[in-house]
Amino acid sequence: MEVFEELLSSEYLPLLFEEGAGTLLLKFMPFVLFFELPLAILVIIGVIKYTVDRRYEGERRPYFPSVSCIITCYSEGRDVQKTIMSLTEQIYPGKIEMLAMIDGAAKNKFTYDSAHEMSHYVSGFENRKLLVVPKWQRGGRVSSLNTGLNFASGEIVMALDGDTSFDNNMVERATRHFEDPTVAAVSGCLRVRNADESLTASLQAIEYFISIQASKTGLSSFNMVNNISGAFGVFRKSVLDLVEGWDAGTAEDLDITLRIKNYFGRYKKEFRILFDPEAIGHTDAPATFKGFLKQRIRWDGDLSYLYFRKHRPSFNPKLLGWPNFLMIILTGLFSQIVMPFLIFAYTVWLFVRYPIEYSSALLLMVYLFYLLLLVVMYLIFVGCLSERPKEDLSRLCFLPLMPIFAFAARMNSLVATVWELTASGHRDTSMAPWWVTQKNKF
Amino acid sequence: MKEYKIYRILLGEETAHSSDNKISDFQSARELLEIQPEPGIVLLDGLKGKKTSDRLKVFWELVELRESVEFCCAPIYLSRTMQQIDILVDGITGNIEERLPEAISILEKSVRISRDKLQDNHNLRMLAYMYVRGEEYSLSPVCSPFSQWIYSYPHMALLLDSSTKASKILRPEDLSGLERLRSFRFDTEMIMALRAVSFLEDHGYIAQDALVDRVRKCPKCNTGHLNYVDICPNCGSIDFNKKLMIHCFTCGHVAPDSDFRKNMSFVCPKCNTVLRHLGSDYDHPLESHECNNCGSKFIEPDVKADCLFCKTRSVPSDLTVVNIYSYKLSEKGSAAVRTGTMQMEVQLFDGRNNLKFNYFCSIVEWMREYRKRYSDEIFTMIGIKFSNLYEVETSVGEELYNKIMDEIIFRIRSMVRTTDITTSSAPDTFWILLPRTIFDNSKILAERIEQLNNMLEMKSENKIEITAKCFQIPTEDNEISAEKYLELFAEEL
Repeated sequence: MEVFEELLSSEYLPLLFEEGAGTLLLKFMPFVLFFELPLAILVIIGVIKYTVDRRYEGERRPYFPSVSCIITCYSEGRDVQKTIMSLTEQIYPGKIEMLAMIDGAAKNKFTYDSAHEMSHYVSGFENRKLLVVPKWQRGGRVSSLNTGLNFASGEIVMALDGDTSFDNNMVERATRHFEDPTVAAVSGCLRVRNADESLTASLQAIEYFISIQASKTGLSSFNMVNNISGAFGVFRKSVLDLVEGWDAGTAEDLDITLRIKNYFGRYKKEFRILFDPEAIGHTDAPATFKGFLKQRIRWDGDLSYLYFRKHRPSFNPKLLGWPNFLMIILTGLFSQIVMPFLIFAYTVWLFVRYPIEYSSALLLMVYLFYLLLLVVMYLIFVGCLSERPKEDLSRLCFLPLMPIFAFAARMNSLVATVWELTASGHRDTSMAPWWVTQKNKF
Repeated sequence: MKEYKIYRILLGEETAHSSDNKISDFQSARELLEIQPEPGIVLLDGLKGKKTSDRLKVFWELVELRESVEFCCAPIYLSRTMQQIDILVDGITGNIEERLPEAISILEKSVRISRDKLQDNHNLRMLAYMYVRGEEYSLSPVCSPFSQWIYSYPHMALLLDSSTKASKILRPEDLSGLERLRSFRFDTEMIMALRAVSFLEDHGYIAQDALVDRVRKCPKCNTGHLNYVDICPNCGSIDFNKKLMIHCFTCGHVAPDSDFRKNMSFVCPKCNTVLRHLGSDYDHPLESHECNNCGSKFIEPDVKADCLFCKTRSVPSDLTVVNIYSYKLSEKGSAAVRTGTMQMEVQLFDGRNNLKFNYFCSIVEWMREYRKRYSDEIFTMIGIKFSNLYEVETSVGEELYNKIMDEIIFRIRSMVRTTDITTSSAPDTFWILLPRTIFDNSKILAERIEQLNNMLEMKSENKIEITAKCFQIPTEDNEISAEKYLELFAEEL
């Protein structure tokens, strides 16, 4: 706080205002104006549109397709029981089949046994079935999903993580959209289960809420969902069969989203990928800051690998359609890969070009602008979307930390991108063993 | 080795066994029995056994053979498998020569059994059947899942008294279709066989060999086809549902999940909180059930056993537990076969004064010495013998027999004084030692015991013959032991 006071009372502050609002805005981040703000406004409009539509949604019609949940497990241990229990106790009259795929079951015997222990419990419920499939050799998440797909008999297939548990209306919310034949997939909403464990976890809870629950709802209103969450994706089985399941390699979630988009683009069929903010899964976020940075390096590395190497031919507006093409450019390429570079370059430029006090004051303005935008958005989103408003509002006090947290994340992202571009870091991903990723044709 | 005859009963054209001059052929069991054959081996041949009618034919020939006194224990073989019939014969063989050693051993043993004794005593036939098959023979129970008896002893069923056999009335030729198949199951006979086996076991003629199975039967009708059902403990209805109880973490309200259901979500009826996530918003404190008939709520349903025959509903602990054993012939059983008589065991005396026979003899010995020294110490003995218990039991039935015996035993016991000493030297022979009793007084007592059977209102042929006599051991003679005297006295009874 002392730094702020010093900055506010410094002689350079008046200089900022003397130059006039236009120049000022131009100086602090043109991309905020041209990129972040329009995106934020788009999302806010989308969220409001969703909230109105949701209010007039009406009763569910008696359409209850059978559901197969492929639960990819590795070393979750007892946590997998929470996942199975929360799926068993869904308030859903249709059939739910759970396929617990234990990757490397020989090594992860405890996870395998934990899943097996649930058989008796599940058998006490009508319309619920549990199949525990041990994959003795470790083959990675994609091999688990594709193996599971062979066992799946449901009309709807869910790709779920073994450490994610679900709200009891998740299946009901997620499946209702499939009554519309043009819906190909639904992305589920993830929240942080251990939000109160540490500050890092609380900040991630805020981040998840804004960047997943709110942003995707907003984009979904305009049919611009650009990713089906990997830990929580819901697909029409026939669509998965068309694209022949998941592809080996990393970031299989983005990969399959792009492939579904490509497929429908190629055949000029109408299709939709939706996001439902009420189909909620709870997952554990890294509790330490170091763990958080490590996880993001992996994710972002995977991301640029996908954009730069694997799907380069897909970046074609004819295939994707213009709105989707722009959205991918904006949210994917631009915000997650280009933006970190720009922010970094801008910050360096700022400190080189202007005296340190001036640039610090400018950064403070940037900070305050972001914070204001954040608070406004957060309040709107909680008011419109949150199913746990009390819980989300209790985190308001952490909002001032968020811009710094986001900045740190973006710098981290930069490192990841550089790492990927120079050293093919995605081969080091912990999602699949090296002998799988090495063989990958990409 | 004596040459035995081989009788072949040819029931059809499809012979499996070649003709041989040692073998004499007959068209049916009846034809064979008409010639009043000497003991021999029987071979049933001529049928393929593929059709039920073939097996029925073989079965009824077998019934006829086992009913006869000539072949009730004889070795009988089949030339081909007849499926369920196979267990009833001594074996299946295409070449009877191979089976001769064992068949001859059976026949050798039956030489010692008198046919006259077997004539009317079907229980003895059962013992003889086991006896001739050697010490190793074990009478095994057979399970028939669709019958009401579940386990029985078909070998014994074949040997039952034909006058009580249902098959006498229900000859296969009189029946048709389903009824014929039912008679094939031999239900009535199987239940009678069970009773016969338990009679032989109770009286020690056969002894338990191996515990084969344990079945629970309806306490009312004694059939074993039970349906275990879980029911509402309040009204007994089987129509109830599992109820999940929900515990709201926000306000602590606990109620069945149906109270929380609102469209497609759980909403606490008390505090209106939407319960979204198991474990963080709510949990299940217990699992309970709700009866759709009477509406009562309960944790554990009751389990009852419904009899599928008589519809009686029983608590599982009230079911009759029946252990099913295989049996071997006991020492007593084999003695009965050798002597041709079945004695009935009676527990006439019990209590502290009833001694083992050798102790009783020592006391008699001691009394004799005592009397030598003190000549006024007179003691007498009464010997009691029941001579026709077995016959009475078979003619009046087990139930009435037990009643009669209970009455007689009660009366005799009431005549015995506390200072009297009793024993038994044989299953049907008993002794009372009466100290300080002169011969004449004992004689009165003995006469009263002999009169006991007259007090019971029974037809004369059903009367139990009681012999009671008074004895005194001469003091002068030291040469003969008390045991020997008792033996001599027993012969007088």
